[in-house]
Parts: sequence; structure tokens; C-alpha cells
Amino acid sequence: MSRLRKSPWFFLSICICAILFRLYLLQIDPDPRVRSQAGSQYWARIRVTAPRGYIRDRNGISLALSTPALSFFIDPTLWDTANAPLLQDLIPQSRLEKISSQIGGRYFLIARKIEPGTAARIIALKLPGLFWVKETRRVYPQGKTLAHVLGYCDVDDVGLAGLELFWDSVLYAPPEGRIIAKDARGNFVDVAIPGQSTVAENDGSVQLTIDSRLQHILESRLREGLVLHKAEWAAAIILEPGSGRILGMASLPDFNPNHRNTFNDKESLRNNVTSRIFEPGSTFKPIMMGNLIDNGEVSKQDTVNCQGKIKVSDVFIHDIKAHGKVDTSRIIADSCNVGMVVSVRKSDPFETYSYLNRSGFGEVSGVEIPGEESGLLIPPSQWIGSVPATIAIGHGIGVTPLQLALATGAIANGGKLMKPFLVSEVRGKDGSLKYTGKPVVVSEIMSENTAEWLRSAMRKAVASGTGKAADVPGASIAGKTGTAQVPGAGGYEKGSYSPSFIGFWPSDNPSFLLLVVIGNPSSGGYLGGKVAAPVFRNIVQDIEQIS
Amino acid sequence: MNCHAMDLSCPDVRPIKGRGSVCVLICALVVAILMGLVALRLYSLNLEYKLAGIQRQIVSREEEQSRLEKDLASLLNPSRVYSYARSELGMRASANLGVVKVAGLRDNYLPESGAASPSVGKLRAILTRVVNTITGKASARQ
Repeated sequence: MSRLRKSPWFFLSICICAILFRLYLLQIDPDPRVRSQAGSQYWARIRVTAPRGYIRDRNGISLALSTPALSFFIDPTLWDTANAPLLQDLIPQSRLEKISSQIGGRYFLIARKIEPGTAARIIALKLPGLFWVKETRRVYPQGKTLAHVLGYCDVDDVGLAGLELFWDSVLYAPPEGRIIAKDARGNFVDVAIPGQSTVAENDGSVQLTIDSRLQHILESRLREGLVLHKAEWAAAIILEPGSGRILGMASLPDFNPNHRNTFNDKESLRNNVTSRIFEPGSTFKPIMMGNLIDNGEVSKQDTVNCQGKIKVSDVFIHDIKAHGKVDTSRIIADSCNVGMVVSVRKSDPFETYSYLNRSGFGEVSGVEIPGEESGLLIPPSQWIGSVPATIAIGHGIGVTPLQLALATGAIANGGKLMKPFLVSEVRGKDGSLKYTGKPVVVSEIMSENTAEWLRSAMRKAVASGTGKAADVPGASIAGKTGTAQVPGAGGYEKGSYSPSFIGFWPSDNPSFLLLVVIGNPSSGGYLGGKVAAPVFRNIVQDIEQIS
Repeated sequence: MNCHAMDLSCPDVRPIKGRGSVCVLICALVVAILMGLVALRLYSLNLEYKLAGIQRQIVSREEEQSRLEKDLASLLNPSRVYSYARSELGMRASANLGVVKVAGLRDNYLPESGAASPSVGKLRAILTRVVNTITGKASARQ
């Protein structure tokens, strides 16, 4: 044993063991401070946004998607301020001024989610101390199309409005911490790290019932009407009355969700279909008449002698002309105010209020977008004096275009108030089905017979009444014009109107219902039959060509 | 003085020489193992490098797919199609527009996502899909 200890091999073995032990200490279990220092030299953890889910139309065309974008930052300790002018016009001016002088720290963001073309130009400069990281940017390929429904996101891809906000829990993927490597020169290299996916998965999607083609028709024709009549705002909605499925929804003025500078005008951000309250005027008459007939307060054979005006309490309600002797269907077809006022004289305010409430007025419809207004329906205890009469002709009540379309949809489908829906399917981040939009009957507001009779009366309004300008040969349109004054402080504003037209076709078994409202036109008339009806006709003609 | 001079029986030195050989062998083995570990580490680095390359390709393809999807959506934009047809192809709205409805086809307004309603025959559904595929309609991708 003593000889073995004297052997040189023994010492060599001891040395090897010592070296192995030291290697073990250094490589396998180093001091935490060493580990931290080494890590900061080779690795960096950064937060990057993951892609949001898709929003698609009913045919699968993407309306909102996330595309790759680059964000640039500098390491001030490696940055040469003399290089800052090279980034002129490539990054925001405020950031350029900042990096033109010495700044502290190791990280300073200079441009977020910029266009691929600009990014390529910055990369080509190969500036020392300038780094970049991949992120995703929300893009709306169809620009302004359906902007109010889609909404928009903030710079961190969090939904702020519209469907982006309503379905944020499904579409939004939280930022992920990505570990990226540095090479020997200190450049960041986006490489694969074991156990970490380089591609964030998000199979979340929202599929709409909206048809891009109908939406385009709706928006382009509505814009024509808005420009022609120099109106302040406009709204249009097309839906299937039998199911409540919304096929298109247009609101003007609009904005482009790709360009934040178009967000400045608050009016352009408002969805006039769900968030604008207006007095419907005569488009409300068929809905009121349905209740009067069902209650037996008016029969289909009744006649009224219209002298052109009638006194109710202390006010006169006028007609555009004296209609003479009119029956119930002509009250609708000729939009006779006197006829409606006479018809509602005996009606019970509490019962009428209940009916209007069942018809969806004064309450939100529950459509899957945020910001919906409930409208203004004053309680029956306040229906005194001329109030019941004015409500019968669509004044003294505030509705949204969506509420009006749904209630008229009940006439078109045989008396059922449908819950509107514009989302057909929602899938979660893992691709699982989260929601399916389907027809839901909210209430039955009138009998089938009454609805059928009203459809024929509204067909007369288009064929031989106030809505002739909306007629399209072969389409068999039933509809109703409306011209409401706009209420202001202390009364109605002089010369300010909301002409509208609501109709459905084919009148015997309607497939489509369309409402057009033009707000405050200042040129080319103010009547619904003259301003809104031609826009309605143009839309129907275009739809008939593609259907 | 050693045991050979005293003619005594000497203990055999061979076992010591044998232990030395064992030590050499152990050292060689350790070196070989270490070299093997280094070789394996180099091999794993090479594999990691290849893996990183493949994942970079995946990311690149994913990005390209996103861009293509965006381009496709832009190209399918009805506003763009309409304005292109008007400005480049000279499309004009017909002055004497007429609507002809064929009886029995009323339920077929705007078939959804290429899926025909139950009343539509199988042949029509197949035809719809074929047309969608040829025209590159988005639904064909699903």
C-alpha cells in the first residue's frame, strides 16, 4: 500500500479527481452569481405580443388578422448618437430626438410594430447597438369595411372597441416572455430554445354572419346617399327577418381601423346602427298598427276622414296633405298622421307601453357587440296630453335603427321578435367551439294574420303609396317611409330631419329586411320617400344581381 | 541491501506493475469518456443548430402564410374588385336592369360557406365547391 502511495500514478489520479471535482463545481453547479452573469451575456428575456385570433366573414374571408411586424430598440451603452440622423423619417420624431443624445439604461424602444418595408430599411443600416424583435400587428385587410362592427385594438393588441373588445377573451393572447440568444458580437439571435416554442399558437377565431359582398353594397350605396344629400350621418342594416341573422351593418361617418389618425372624430367612431337613438317617424306606424288591430281597437275595414291636420290636447298634428277618406291599409300606405292619431285615441297607454316593451323598445337587443343603446321609451304614467298620439306617429320615442329593424322584422316573419346575432361561431385559443349563434325567438308580438295583413299594406305603400321610389320591378318590396324631425333643446330643431325607409322582400315570404336612415340631410329634400327610398332601391338592385 | 543479495525469497513486484497499468487504463478510460462527452456535446450542438434552422424556416413560413392570408383578404375585398372592374375592365351598370327569379330557387340566397341548404341537391353542393376552388374563394381553403 505504501508503495502504491509512492507511485506517480497515484498522484496523477488524485490530480485528475481534483480537476474533475472542480469541473463539476464550475460546469454543473456553479455559483448563482456566476450563473447570472453568464446568462446575461448570452441570453435575454423579452416580452413580445402573440397573434390575436382571426375575425372572418360568413364566407371565410379574413376581416381582421395578425401579421408579423418588427419592433426596434437600442442598447444605449452600445449606441453611437452620431448614427441617430440615419434613422430620420424611419422612426417617430420624438424617439429620434431622444436617441440623438446620451441616455441611460440598457434598453430603449425606438419603434413599435412598424411596416415590413420600413423595417427592412432600418435593418439594412446595420447600426451597432440597434436591435429588433419580432411581434405581431393587427391588420384589417378591408380597411374601412365593417369598421364599426370589428372595432380596433391598442398597440398591445388588446381589444378596445367592437367585436375586438366583445370577444377579447377569445381573440387576445397574452404577451409571451421569449428568451433570445446573443451571439459573440452581442447581437440578438432569435433561435430555438429547448422547451420553448418560437411560434405562439392561437387558434381563436370569430366567424360572422356578415357577408362582405352585401356589406360592400350597403356601405358604398349609403355613402352615395350621404354625399348626395350632404347628410351628417347615415345608418343601414340588412338582416334575415326569419332568423335575426345580420348580413350587413353600415354606419357613416366611418374610420379606418388601420390608421389611428382617423379615430380623432368621435362621431366617426359611433356605430349609428346600435348606438344612435333617433325618432323613427312614420316607419313606426306599422308596428303601432299591429297592436291596434290585434287588440281590436282598429279593424281592417275602418275608415278615417283626413283633413290634413288634427288637434290633440293643445297641439296640432299635421299631414303633408289632406288624404280625404282613407281605410286602415291606406293609413299605412299613404303614411297618414291623422289616421294614426284617430286610431290610437282609445288605446290604453299601459297596454301600449307593454306592447312596445315586448317589441324590444327601451331595452338592448343583446347583439354581440358592445355599446348598444336601449333607446328612450318614457313610462306610461307620463303619457299625458298629446304624447300617445305623437308616439303613434313615431315621435316622442327614441329607438336605435337595430331595434326598429327587429320590430319590423316581426311583421315580416309572422309576428315573432327575433334576437339579433352577427356571430355564427366562436372558437377558443385551442380551437374548441365556444359559442354558436342561432335564431332565438324573444317574444311573439302580433298574430300571424295581422302580420300578413301589415305586409300587404306595406306592399301597397311601395306599389302606390309614399315609398314608390323604393320599388324594384320583380323584387316585390314591402316597406314604409319615415320622416322624423330631430329633437333638440326645448323642442324640435327647425329644418332638421331623419328620413328613413324600411322594407323587406319578397313581400309574401321575406328573405331580407333592410333599413336605411339618412341623418340631417341638407340638400336634395328631406322626406323619407325622396332621400332614403332611392338609396334603399339602389341597394336592393345590387343585391338582386348577386343573389 | 536487498532480498536478492540475502538470497531470500523476494516478494513479487509484478502486482505493483499491474496496478500501474490499471491506473493508466483508468486514465485512458477517463480521457476517452471525456472526449466522448465532448464529441456528444458537439454533436448535440450540431443538432441544436439544425433544429434552430428548421424552426427558423417554420417561423418564416408561418410569417409568409400570414402575409399571404392578408394579401388574399385584400384581393377578395369587394371594394377593390368593384373598383378594378370599373376602372380597368370598363364595367358599367346596366341601364335596363331586370330581375328574373327562377321558381324553386328562392331559398338559395347567398349560400353560406359553400355549404348548400338541405333543399339543394348534392350535385349543386359539389358544383359550388368546385367553383369555389377554381375561383379561389376563401371558403375553399377550409
